[in-house]
Amino acid sequence: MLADEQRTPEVEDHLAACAACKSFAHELHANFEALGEMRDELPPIPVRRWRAYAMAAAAVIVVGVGIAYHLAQHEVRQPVTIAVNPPAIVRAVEKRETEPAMPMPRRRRVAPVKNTGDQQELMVKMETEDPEVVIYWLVEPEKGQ
Amino acid sequence: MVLRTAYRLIGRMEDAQDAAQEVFLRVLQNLDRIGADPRGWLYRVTVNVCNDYYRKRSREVGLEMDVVCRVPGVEREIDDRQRKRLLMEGLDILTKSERAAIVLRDIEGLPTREVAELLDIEEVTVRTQTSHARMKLARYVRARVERRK
Repeated sequence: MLADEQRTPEVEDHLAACAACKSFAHELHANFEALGEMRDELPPIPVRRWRAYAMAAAAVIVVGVGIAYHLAQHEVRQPVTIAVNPPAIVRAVEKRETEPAMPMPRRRRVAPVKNTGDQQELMVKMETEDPEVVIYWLVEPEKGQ
Repeated sequence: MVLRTAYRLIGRMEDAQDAAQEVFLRVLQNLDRIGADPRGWLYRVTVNVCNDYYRKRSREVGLEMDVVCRVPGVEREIDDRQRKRLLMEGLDILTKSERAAIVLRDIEGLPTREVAELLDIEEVTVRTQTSHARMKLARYVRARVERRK
């Protein structure tokens, strides 16, 4: 019994005669059955874990309530439906075959320069992006440009 | 299965959870070494990992051995729940090898031959250790019930 052996007739005789050994044999058997029943039982989760789970659950609830409260504060505006009468005639927009031409830049009207006689030569210095290149434009007053 | 066995071998859930993690880590590291019997392999790794934990803790509580026939039986005096609790407590008084043997043999229900293979010992040794463990557990339960009276 203790070592998975079958009960021999001698053991049975002794158990029949000795109440204490019989009781002990019953106890061994009860222990053996209890150990076998423990096979599929899940071990207890420590209290600390339960506390952690409870705190996590509480945190989830608090966050959920917060989100619900936030949503309740901002009322959701439903889009307003307006009845619009359809236009009587719907003109189909004709698609142009060719690309529209680029608009030409307007010419500026320059006021004519009056020849006053005492006009001096005008020099215009034009700087380009290249600092090495500078264009000078000399305007002669006799020619008006 | 791993966590359950580890818990019964070690006796503390925190250590058992760490041991179970270690077991699965070893499984991942040795996937190619798992043979045709992954269950037995898992048991073996679990026992080895728990032995390491057991060595760390290494607490064995001695219990005075009573004469078997001196105290009347307690099989009718406690219910199943109490008995299981006392048996779990009683696992702590067993030696490492006795504990492994009885957990695998009586709780996990493995045959003696398989337990012997898992623990790498002879079948007769498994029987001896199981026998000692059963005796110690019975005495422990009896002593605890007597102490409450």
